[in-house]
Amino acid sequence: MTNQDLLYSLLAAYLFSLIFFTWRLSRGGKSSNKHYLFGSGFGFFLSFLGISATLFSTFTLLGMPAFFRNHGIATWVFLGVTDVALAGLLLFFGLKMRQFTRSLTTRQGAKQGAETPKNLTEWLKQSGLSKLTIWFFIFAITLFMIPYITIQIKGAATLLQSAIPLGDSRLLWSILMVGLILGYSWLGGIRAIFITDAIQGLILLITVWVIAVFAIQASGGITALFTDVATIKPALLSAPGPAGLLNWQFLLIGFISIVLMPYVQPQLATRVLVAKNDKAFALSTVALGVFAILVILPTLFIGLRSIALSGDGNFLLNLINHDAPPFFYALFIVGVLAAAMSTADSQLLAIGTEWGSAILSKDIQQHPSARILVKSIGVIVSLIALVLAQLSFKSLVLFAINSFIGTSLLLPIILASVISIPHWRQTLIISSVIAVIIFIPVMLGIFPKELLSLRIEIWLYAVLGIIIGLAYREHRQLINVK
Amino acid sequence: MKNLTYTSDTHKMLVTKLKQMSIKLLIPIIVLGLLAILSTLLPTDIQQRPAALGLPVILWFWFGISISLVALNTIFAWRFIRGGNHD
Repeated sequence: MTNQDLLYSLLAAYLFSLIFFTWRLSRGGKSSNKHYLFGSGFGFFLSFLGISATLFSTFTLLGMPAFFRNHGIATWVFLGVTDVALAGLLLFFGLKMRQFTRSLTTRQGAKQGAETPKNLTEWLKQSGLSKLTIWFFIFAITLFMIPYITIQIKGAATLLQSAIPLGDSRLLWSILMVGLILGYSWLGGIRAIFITDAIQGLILLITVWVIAVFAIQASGGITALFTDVATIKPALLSAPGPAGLLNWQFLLIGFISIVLMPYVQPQLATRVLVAKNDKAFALSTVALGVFAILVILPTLFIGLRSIALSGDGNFLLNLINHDAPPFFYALFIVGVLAAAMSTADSQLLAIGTEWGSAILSKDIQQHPSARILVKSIGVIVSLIALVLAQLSFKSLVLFAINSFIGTSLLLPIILASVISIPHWRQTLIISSVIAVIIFIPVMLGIFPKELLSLRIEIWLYAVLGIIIGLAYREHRQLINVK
Repeated sequence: MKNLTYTSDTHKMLVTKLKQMSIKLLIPIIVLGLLAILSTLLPTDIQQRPAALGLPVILWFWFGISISLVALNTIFAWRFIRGGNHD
């Protein structure tokens, strides 16, 4: 069997499993909107693999090794330490989120028959935030999430095009991927996404480890691998790396923006809220931390091993061709496709659901038109991402980090829904709007990136942090008096 | 019998558990995260000094921080689950 034959066989097996599970799930007849959009509660295994597969996307397989290769071992702080801290903080703040949504229902549910909110917009609606605030949140989230969906499509389609060329550009592969995602998400709803994400998460984990083991073996062991790096490019073995990128400012911004993702990014927030119970949720945060280490560690070895190899084209394909048997070349391609699809599918359904919640006056879980509205918005967003994915941009990770920073600036709006003092609610909302308005021109290079030698994002986080601290202090005082 | 519905009792219990968890979990996570970030300011020769398996000493330090964070998460999740009476 040639490389290509193996690749076709594995791709066929992967696609068959996706179609099979989606068919099984869609066979049960018409489920309710609530079941279709949010499921009926996910246990530990699906919750943890679902969160993991959504969090670790195309850039796990493509971007992370490239980041280790270009910027060295301090990438571990940016990715390894940060993602594990995200899991630890999620244990506390995720439980807080779940507690808050239930208290919202207790407060309002009896008189309005409301369901516990399972997405951020419904949460903001039930908390009594103004329509204007909710629309700002939706627009900003969509603006910052589209680049993130774009990189999933672009990263996977570029690699697939280099492995199995379809036409002259990556357009056909991009269209095929988006078509597949929309197909299984439409048929099976969130349950199909959770189950396919679980399969895709496992493929991702197996793929990175297999390739890493071959890379280590080909180097002559871990010690030899690091000795090679020390000889060829010693600057990779310390911070801030050869390009000076991984300095404390970049790492701090990365830390804050990444640990805040589950509270502001709809596809992750929904997963926190739809876990079956607190026990399943708590366990899934522990598994997420372990999974983060297990996924990122092999990308360190893969990235550093590639330093010792030369060749044109994609360094990862070169490494796999050089170090691993042909089967693993095919596994890697399928792994990238799985990683991209598992992240993009949740994002499309989540953005569609947020827009649906904002447009519909009733609770989205009870509205008869919810499903078609969510699907239509998913199509529009995916088409925009499809067009953007045909453009060229350099680093997947740097593109993603801007998306994370943008969404993290929306945290004050989420917190405004928790704070009961009207003037602090307004202050939090306005501060978030101003932060986003400042950040967009900084991201586009219109405003300077630094002020007094500190990056603008650090100033924004510092000011927002002070405002949040003051608001929370007064809120606590009020609760204690009551 | 295990309580399967969400009642005011389970709510109160969750609030209490979260209060107990807050400082003990959040501060160590933030301190460890900052420690990892600030350690990147150490001189290059100290960071690059080879340690076990030929890995630079700073990388072992960061691995240690990641594992400590997972351990903290596990301990607090375990305590939370053992407390019982969840929704």
